[in-house]
Amino acid sequence: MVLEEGKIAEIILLSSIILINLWWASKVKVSLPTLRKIPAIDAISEAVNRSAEMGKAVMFCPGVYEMIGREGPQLVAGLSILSYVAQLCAESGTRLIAYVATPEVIPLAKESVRAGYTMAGKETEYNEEIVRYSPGYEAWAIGIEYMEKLHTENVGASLMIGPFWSISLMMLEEAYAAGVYQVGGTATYYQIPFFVSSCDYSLMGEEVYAASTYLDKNPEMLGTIAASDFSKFLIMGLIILGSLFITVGFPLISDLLSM
Amino acid sequence: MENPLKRIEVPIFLTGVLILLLLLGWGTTITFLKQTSKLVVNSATLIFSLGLLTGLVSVILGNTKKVLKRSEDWYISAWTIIVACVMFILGIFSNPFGEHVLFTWIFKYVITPISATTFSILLFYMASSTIRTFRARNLDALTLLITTILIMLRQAPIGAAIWSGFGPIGDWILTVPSMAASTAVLFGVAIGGITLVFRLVTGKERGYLRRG
Repeated sequence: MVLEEGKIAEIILLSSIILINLWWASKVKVSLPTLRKIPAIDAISEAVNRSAEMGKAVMFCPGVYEMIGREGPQLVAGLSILSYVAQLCAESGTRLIAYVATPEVIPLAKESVRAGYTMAGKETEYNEEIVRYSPGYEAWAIGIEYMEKLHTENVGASLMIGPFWSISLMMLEEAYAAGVYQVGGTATYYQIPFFVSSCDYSLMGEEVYAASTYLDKNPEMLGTIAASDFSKFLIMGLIILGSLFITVGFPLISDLLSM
Repeated sequence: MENPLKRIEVPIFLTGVLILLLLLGWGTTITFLKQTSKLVVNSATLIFSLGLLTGLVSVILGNTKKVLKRSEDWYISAWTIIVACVMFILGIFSNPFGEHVLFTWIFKYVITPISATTFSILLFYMASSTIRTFRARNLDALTLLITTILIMLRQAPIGAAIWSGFGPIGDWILTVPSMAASTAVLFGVAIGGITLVFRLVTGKERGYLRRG
């Protein structure tokens, strides 16, 4: 058999989600979906504006995981938001400090920041030292350095959007103690409570992936947000049907999903 | 003439092709696709490992600038350069089939205790976060507060000493509503990730590139 046994249901589900995305990508050419406002995404520009008014810097960290791991897509989303933040900082003349924890992210972060400055028409103001690399065993070094710079670099806003692990609580609490305006977000589910408790605004779970699309305002990309919601309805329907069927002793859905 | 390798379409095309190769290798039994998929993963691991060298160079160059300019705390930068070079040289001379004694000693008796110490400080940050967060301002916050107290009594030995019922209550909270909520978040994250990968494959997600 060509398809791997035990993965047929997953392949069918994955194909369905892709087809839903393709369908929505064609549908948005006719009409755009209405998206609810996510306050945390609007708070990103507010954070930059506040820092600009106070003459303070903006600090950004797109995450501390490696690109090749399971959290890679989150890092990509974080870098997209970094590019948008760089554009806002360039437009308002606010100093930006970006921290990365893994070396393979350095060129991507630099390009994201440079792209932001270029979009703002201020490519000549781009500085290589905006992106700082802080290596270390299990990302402790970036956390410690981030915490120190919150106090020494005259920071007005701290934006932490991407994949984080235990170091995030220290960074968030230190930013709270420093009185810095915080917008954070992660899809690493066991870190979400720390972001919610310490940040002024937070993005939870899939909102991190939706944020870069939201900020881009590209119709085809907005269609994928609607597609992901549709896909969730599909999954929810399967869960409800499967629960009902198995309750009456008819394991059809669970047998199909284990194919 | 513009360098064709610098065009933004090149990384977008490569990303799409490699993601498709990985998916096909994962979902099919075709040996060629499985082997190609494994080659892609191994190549990524190799690039990541070589990237560590880039990181080392970046650290040394960045800290060297601070030392030469005699910036604030330049001596910390000097110490960083010395430590980085020492560990790199010791690592180079490590026996690939065994261990270098000094390299292992520094890792076990210097780096690991420092990491453990930093991890321990997390307790105090968690306490300060908890004091601030768990306040009964409204019904939702009160529910959160009561649930947290029940879970803490389930986890700490004193809870079992006070009343044996805290264990089953805490277990139920962890295995039923908490599991349901975290599974729901995981589903959303997984679908969001699939959608992001779809945007990467189709070239719509360019924020991490030059946003061209």
